[in-house]
Parts: sequence; structure tokens; C-alpha cells
Amino acid sequence: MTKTIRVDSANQTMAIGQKLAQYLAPQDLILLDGDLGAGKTTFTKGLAKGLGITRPIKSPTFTIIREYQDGRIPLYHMDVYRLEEGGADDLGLEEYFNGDGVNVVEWSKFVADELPDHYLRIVFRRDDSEGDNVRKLTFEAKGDRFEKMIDEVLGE
Amino acid sequence: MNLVARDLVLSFETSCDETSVAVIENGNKILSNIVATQIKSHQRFGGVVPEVASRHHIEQITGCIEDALRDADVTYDDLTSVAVTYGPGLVGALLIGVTAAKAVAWAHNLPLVPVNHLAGHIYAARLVEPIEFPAMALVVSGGHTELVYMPEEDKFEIIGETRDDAAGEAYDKIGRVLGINYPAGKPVDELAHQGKDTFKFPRAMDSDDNFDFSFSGLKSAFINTVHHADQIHEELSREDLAASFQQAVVDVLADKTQRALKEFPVKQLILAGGVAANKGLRERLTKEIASFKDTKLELVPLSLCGDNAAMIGAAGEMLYRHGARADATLNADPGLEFEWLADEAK
Amino acid sequence: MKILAIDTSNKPLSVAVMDNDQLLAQTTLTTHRKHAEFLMPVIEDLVKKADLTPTDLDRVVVADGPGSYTGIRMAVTAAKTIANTLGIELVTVSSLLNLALNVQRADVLINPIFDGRNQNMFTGLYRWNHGTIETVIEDQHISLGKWLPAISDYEQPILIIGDTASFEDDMRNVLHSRLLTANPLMGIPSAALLGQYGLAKSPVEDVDAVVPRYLRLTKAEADWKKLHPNEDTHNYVEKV
Repeated sequence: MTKTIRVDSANQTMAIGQKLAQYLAPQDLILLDGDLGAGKTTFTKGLAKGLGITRPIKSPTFTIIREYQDGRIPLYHMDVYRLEEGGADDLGLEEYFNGDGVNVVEWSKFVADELPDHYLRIVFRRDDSEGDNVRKLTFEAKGDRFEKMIDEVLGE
Repeated sequence: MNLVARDLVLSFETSCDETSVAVIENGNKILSNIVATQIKSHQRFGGVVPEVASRHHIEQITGCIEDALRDADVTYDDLTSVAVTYGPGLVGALLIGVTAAKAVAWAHNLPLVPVNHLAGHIYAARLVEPIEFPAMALVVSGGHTELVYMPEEDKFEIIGETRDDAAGEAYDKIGRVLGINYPAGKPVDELAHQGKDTFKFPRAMDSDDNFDFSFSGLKSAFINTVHHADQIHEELSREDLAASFQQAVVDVLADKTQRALKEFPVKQLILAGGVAANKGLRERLTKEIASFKDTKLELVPLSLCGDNAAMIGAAGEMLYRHGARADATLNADPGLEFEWLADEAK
Repeated sequence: MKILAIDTSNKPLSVAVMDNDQLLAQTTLTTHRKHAEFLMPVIEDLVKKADLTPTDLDRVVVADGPGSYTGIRMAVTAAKTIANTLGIELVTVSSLLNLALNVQRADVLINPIFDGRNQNMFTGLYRWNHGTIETVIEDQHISLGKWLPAISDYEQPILIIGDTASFEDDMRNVLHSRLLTANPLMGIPSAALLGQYGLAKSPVEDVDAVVPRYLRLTKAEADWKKLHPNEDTHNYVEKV
């Protein structure tokens, strides 16, 4: 099931992340894909805010995983760009996916083999013909739980 | 005969794409500093590939140990301690140094000292001149942008940090847009010196009342500018683009640092980390520090700005004196951070 | 000769301290994958319990892969650093061969398997010949679809051990009654057998040059090689 919406500002992207956070439980997996600078980090900031995390959400590019423990449930934010097949061992991805927190993964195609069956994927696209800040967000739910979730977050 | 006891640290650094082993005497003298860099290998892929980095580290590690001891002209019997970077960094890369350091410490019954990579970057300054406290450090690299306040030699408190991308990361990302391969810091710096700040990119957070940095807005503004020009087939000056980008980065770094120095008067300001090699940033801070009569600027020498084990030995000796020890269970901690001073304030 | 033997190729961790072919102490754990945390403490503990100090050791024997990349790197880093720093010998043994050592019978072909995900495996074929284990087919990373034809023409039964669960049914469909399975405990490596086997092998000449037997290029390297077929891949690391 997929659903596409248009957002006009970074604040709006953030608000959707914040709203989604209310529905999330440990072991939920959110995949964020799309262009550089299209709003993946902004979305994650909103999500973190919704989880009650006060620390700034920094780019996970350098260490691949950043952990935030100070919210309602832990947030594990991963940028798996350049991660190799088999390299997921190093990180213990499976342990995170079966762990105690929400997992947000950017550039998920690099770990396609490691992904569980159920997840929510959001693809961010710039739409330059409409303006600098206009984005198309496509939500793709795998599993009933996430299908219901996007209905509630985006409205039927 | 030398009656003065020599304190010799054998130190390891493998947090990213450099395998390095050093021997440091009394915390401030480099007897050897072997650095095997993998940059050429990762350039093939446009950035560091973690699995490739781990594979190179294991190829290099024991050869680097041998070279470090030979160049320093010391044996294991002469050593006082073993120091190793255990974070932050790439977990698979860190683990090679941590495992090797643990094996050496065990084999020769030496104490093992765990070192935060960023403490190492800051303590590189000590290899040139003693650090005077209280001190402040601006640590800028591919993975970090932090203002660290040090009331005493073993106290590190973050007073400001990037809220999104690290400065070096922003250089690499806009470098890609300009068609410059990783690591883009030096080429962009050189290009910037041939251009002018004509684009006036936004200085993020410049007016906010805190010491945090942000570079993702600048990155987006840069990408948008190039993107728009591409769409209408307009050619922009790469020199001016680089100069405008660099000016914005340097402005934000310098302004926040100045503001921090006003609130936390220190005897020394240390500029450290890979991006500390940036000429534009060095020139600017040198100029700005003049208005702080009681603060001396310590620019970490270019040869010690990048990742190296000498800096880990310099920090390791200090931490050893303060009783820092790890046992054989020491693990890599890829997300290791200093304390946040602001946490208590909040 | 005092020997330290190490295998952390996959989830199990096995370490042994031997005096020639006598086992002095051994630990095998299968409950976690935290080799980075556990390997050195286990080594420390076993050497002490064997009443030895590190400098008493004469040789390190390591299972150098294939296996989990992190697992084989932990074992090989520890082994080559210990050998280098103490100036002692290092012997490397295939992790698949080490598993095959668990099956001490000459009437079968031994097929140790590590799961390589998506119906791929790290595998090889071994047999005992007058008390010596021999390689029948070299260790490799291969899909089940390609491995099956390679082993289907042998007359002897084939005994599979290791990560056999996801391959067993498909293999039985081809090999029928010639496919044998073993007690699952035989799928757990024994460092004592590794040490014993390593006793008779000659040590490597250049400890510094030892790297794990990955049997697989990284994806980045493989893609790059496709684009640059004739480029020399050496000298990518420079000492500065």
C-alpha cells in the first residue's frame, strides 16, 4: 500500500515525523530514502521530537549509527550508505531490529538483504518545478500495522 | 646513563581510514608516529567504505607496530602503557586497534588506557607546546564539529556542537556537487582562495544565543544554487562558489568560537581535527584571537591535524596519570561522546 | 610446544591452550556474538588456568575464515598481534576444515557449510585419507544451485555439518540417501582439534601479511573491478 503527499515546508515535514512518533513502538522500522537534502534528516528531527528526545539529531553518516536514549523509547538512527553486504554483522543490525527502540534507516537499499518483512518506507523527492521547499513524500507500508498507521497519520 | 624515568606510551588509532601506531615519550615528545593511510583506496569509491577500511586495517596493523617500535628505538620492556582509541568512529575499524592493543597489553603485562578520539585531536596540541588550563578547543573534522571546554586537563565538556552535519562532511558533500572527489576539504580550500564570496549563503544559527553549529542549511542552499543554474544552463564560477561556501563555514565557526570565549575565558584556544588544516579557518581565527588579550591560539600543526596515533599517546599519557584503565573486555564504542555541559544547565 | 588456538569464525567462540597434542584448557561459548568483548578475556583466563604466562606460548593457531567478516577479523587480529608481539609462530587453518575435523570418519565426504545468506554458502569438501584430512573441493563462496552439481557425482555419502538448516531439503532432493546429517554438536568448532591439527602444519613465513580468508571481495571492490579490469589493486595504502 502506498500513499503520496505534498509538503510545502521543512516545518510540515517535521510535523509529520512528530505525529508519526506517537504511534511507534519498539522494533518498528522506518526506512527513509530519496535525494540528498530532500528532508530525511528534517523528518527524523520531527520524529525524535515526537518521541520526547531533546538532544539534537546529528547526521549519522560518520559513525553509521547514532543512538538516542532520552525519549519515550530509544531511537536508533542509521545511515547505511556504503555499508556492505555482510558488513551489517559489524553493526549488529539484527540486534537493533529486534531490540528495544525505533529504528530509522537512511539509504536502506544498501541493507536490503537484512531487512525484516514489516516496515514503513518513506521516499522523499524534491519538486523543483514547484519551488525550493516543495517535496513529494511517498509512504509505502509493509504489514497491517504500518498500513493502519499511515491512514491515521495522513488521514484516510 | 639516563636516570630520569622515561614514560613511554605505545598508542593505537584505527577509528576511520588511517592505521596508526606511535611511541610517545612523557606525553609530549614523538619518538615515532607511523600512519598508513587508506585514502587512495577509498577514493575509488568516492568515500570511506567501512568494510574496505576494516580489511586494510588488519593488513597493516602489526607492520605498523613493528615500525613504530623500530623508529622509536625502544623495546616492549621500555614501555609504560598502551593507549588506544575506542571511539567515536567506525565500529569495525575501531575493533582492529582495540583488539591489537588489548593483545599487546596482555602479552607484555602493560596497563591499557582507553582514549576518546576527540581527546586525542585536542591533545595533539600538547605535542607542540604544553596546554594551559582552562582551555577551549574547536574540534572540526569529517565526523565532528564541537566546542569543548576544559577547566582541567582531564575534564572535557561540550559547550557547543553541530546540530546536523559536521563541517568536514559538508565540505565532502558540496565537493561532490562541484565534481571534487573525497576528501574535498583541501581542494575546496584552494579553490576558495581564488574566488570571492559573491553568493552570500546563509550563516545558520549565527544570531542564536548558543554555541551550536549547523551546516545542513548551507549545504542545501549551495545545492539549490547550483541546481537552479544547471536548469537554466547558466555557468557559475566554481571559485566563487567555493569561496562563498567556505566564507559561510568560517564565519559560523569563528563567530560561535568568539562568543564562547567571551563566556568562558580561557588561557588557550586549540584548533584541532582534520578541518583545522583549512587555511581559511586558520587565517580567520588568527585574526580574531587578537582581541582576546589573555588567550593564546594554538593551531595544531598540519602534520598532526589528520588522524594519527601520536595524538592518542599524548592524551593517553595524561589519562594514565589520572587513573584511566581498561581491562581485556574493552569494546569499541562508535558513538562515544564527551559530557554535555548544557545537559546540567537545561 | 605450548599452543594457543582460536576460532571465532561464526557465532561460536572456541579457544584452547595445548601442550603439544595435550589439551590443557578449553572454552567454547555459543550464547552470544560479542567476540570483541569476550575473546581476549577468555584467552587471558585460559592461559592463566593452564598455569602459563603469555611468554610461555610457542605458537598461535587460528581459524582464519571463511565466516562472519567481524568474527574472522577478531580471531585473526588477536592471533597475528599475539604472534607478532611475542615473536612466536602463527599457523592459519581454514575455518571450514576446522569444522570438518569434528567428523573423524573415512567412509564419507565431509561437507561443512556456513550460511552466506540468500541461498549462498561458504563451503568446501573434505575427506580423511589414512589419518590425514584432505581437501576434495576448495573452500568457496557459492550458491546452492552451483554447489549441488559439483558434489552430486561422487559415489560416497556426503555428510553435511554447520549451518545446514536452510540447505538440507534442497540437497536431499538431489543426493537422496547419499546425504547424511550429523549430531548438531558437530557443527560447533573445537579449538582443541584446531590446535592439534595446527601442531603438524608449518607456520606462516610473514605474520604481518596474514589476512582473513574472506573468500569474497567487498561489493565496492567487485563493482570497481568490473569497471577497471586491468588496474593493479596493490599499493592502495601508503605510509606517510
